[in-house]
Amino acid sequence: MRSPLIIATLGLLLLADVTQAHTLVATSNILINATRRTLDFTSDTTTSIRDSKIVREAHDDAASFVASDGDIRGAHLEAAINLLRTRVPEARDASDQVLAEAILAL
Amino acid sequence: MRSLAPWLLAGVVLLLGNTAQAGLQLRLKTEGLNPAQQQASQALLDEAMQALPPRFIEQLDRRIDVGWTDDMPSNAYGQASLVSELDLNRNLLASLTDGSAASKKTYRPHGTVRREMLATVLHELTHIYDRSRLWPDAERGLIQRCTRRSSSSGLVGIPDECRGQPARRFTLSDDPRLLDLAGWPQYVGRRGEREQYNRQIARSPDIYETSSPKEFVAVNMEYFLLDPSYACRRPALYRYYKEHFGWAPPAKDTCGKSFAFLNAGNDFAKQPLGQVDPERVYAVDYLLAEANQNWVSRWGHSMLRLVICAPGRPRGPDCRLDLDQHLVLSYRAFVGDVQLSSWDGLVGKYPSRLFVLPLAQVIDEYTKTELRSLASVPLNLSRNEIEGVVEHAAEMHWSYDGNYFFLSNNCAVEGLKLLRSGTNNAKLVGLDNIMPNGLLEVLKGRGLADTSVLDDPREALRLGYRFDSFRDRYQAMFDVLKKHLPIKQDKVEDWLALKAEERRPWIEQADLRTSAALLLLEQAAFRQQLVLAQDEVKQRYLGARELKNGGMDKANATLQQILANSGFLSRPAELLGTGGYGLPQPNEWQRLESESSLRQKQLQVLTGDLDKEVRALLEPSRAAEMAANEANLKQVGEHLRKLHKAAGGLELP
Repeated sequence: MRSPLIIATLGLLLLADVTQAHTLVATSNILINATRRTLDFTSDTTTSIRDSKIVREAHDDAASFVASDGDIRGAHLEAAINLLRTRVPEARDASDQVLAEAILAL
Repeated sequence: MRSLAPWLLAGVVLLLGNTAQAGLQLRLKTEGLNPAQQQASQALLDEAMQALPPRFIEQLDRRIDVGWTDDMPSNAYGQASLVSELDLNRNLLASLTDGSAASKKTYRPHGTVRREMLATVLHELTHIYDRSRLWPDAERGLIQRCTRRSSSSGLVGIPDECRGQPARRFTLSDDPRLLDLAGWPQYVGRRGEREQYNRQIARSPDIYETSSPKEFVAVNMEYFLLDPSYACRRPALYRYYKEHFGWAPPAKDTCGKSFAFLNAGNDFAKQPLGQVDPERVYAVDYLLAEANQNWVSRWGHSMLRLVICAPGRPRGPDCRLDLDQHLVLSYRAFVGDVQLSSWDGLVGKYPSRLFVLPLAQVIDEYTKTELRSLASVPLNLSRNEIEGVVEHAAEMHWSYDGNYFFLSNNCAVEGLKLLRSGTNNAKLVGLDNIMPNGLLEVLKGRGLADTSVLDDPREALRLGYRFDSFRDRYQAMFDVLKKHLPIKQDKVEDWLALKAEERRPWIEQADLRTSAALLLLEQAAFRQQLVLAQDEVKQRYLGARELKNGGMDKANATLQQILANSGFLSRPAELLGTGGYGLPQPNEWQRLESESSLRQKQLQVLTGDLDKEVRALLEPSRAAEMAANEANLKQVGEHLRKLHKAAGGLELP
């Protein structure tokens, strides 16, 4: 959750500077649309399953799944469910709904 | 009959003897040379002869006179006449004779002056070889066939294999395949006509090579023959020369298995240097972002997705869900929503570069920020073709610096060029299309893309062939909310237009399902606030810069520093010294690693500073609304966890 807004803003700030156009082109590509950082919980610094990138990136898909009663089932969720079933013993026989709720509650 | 055999045998021996005698001869013009000079010159020519491929010597069946001349610019090494003469610059004779040329460094990839002289002889001989139309039989037959076809039916009617073949005049430098690899790709929509300028200008061993295909062929021949690392630095060209001559120099480095690339992801906390092992790439998908109303996006954006298997997983369909491993190859112009000048786009002012991005970031960017959906369609490529695409992408990543023309050289065109050069697939050669959505249709039509994966939308979503726009999801979330709580609003837009504080009381009343919906809707509201804030800050920034009113000075300075420090992510070659060329090799890795992580650290500090400075520029009301919105997000999260715990839900370790 570090510094979400500002990086995003930066992308547009950069745009304004015409004289910097060249470098700007370079930079803006990494800065623009960086809004992802705002709502992004991803981290791959630890090894625990709840912190794994696959599981973290499934958060929004899990929310959609739970809210839509299983109707919206995105690939990120599918990947996370597969991972949990292979890595976590108590997840092996759990239903998709249970796993989606578990991911959502992280 | 019996007596005939010896005669036949004798005939064969005679024929063989003849071919052994025939072939290239280099004759030194000795007039005016003292014995030491003659000896040193002859040694150079002998070495050149030894370096040449057998086919070259055999086919270039003539005597070439080599001499030293003063009649040449002082910095030139040598030049060849059209047919059978080669001149070297007399300036260099003294150092060749006394041996000092062998130790004098040039600070170019060849190393020493003597090595440059040897390269010059090979370079100039290659020009003569190139002009002599010494095609292998099969190629000669193809050229003749195609020339006949084009004179009878015209360019429009010729088959794909004939593109670029009619009326060829050079052994190598007008070969369509060579031009693809070298960086003179076909213009789209012009029946095989080639682009005029070579944009593969970064990490060149000798920028002179980009001046024309003829020079390209000669320069690369130098490195093919003399540099054992050529096979690793320019693998596709190495194979091209090797195939043409049916031979390669015995000295060859062992190449690394994977390719280095700089990840242009937006997470500054991560080391940007990555590696792709082509062995682990299971498939290449055509990744298409659907069009939206924005004119730049009207035709969609096309990219390539590398489906990379997680370490340890055998290559197979399961790799499709290793989403955290997948990378996206994307040619991007710099495109921002409001500031984009259509005129600059049309005249090609925006540089086009090949970016390597994490798939998850690309999905977020399109589906959540731009609210556009993505389709990921597998391409039917062979194993070799897949590896060829990965290899060529790596080469382009390090060498390409193009111009982005929205209409004629857009992402679809660049992607098509990448696929064509990387695979050399015959079905791609004759493809002319310039629009991203159109390209997919054409690929499908030629059996190169399998769009059947999209037939069942639910399965496509589950398996990652389709990534839906969050516009639809937000609507679905609102429907859930409306059904479960007695809210007054009838449209999702109205709900999102409420103040965060007005939405907050509903959070505690929501059950698990509704809370999940609320969570996504709060995120939507936050993204909306971001867009508004961006616009406000941009206006203030523009105003403040005009007025020089102090408020922006510090932020501006930090911004300039970030600019100066982050360019490397899109121009990775900047990180490396000038000593190497082509793909970075192990001895360049260390520098690459330390340089990129150093710059990364600086960037992280700078962005932290900028955060503080720019935050101060927000309108107080905007800042308050965003803070309230963030508080809502936090509260929904806590509420969710509370409900989950109370219900005794599964807790992940």
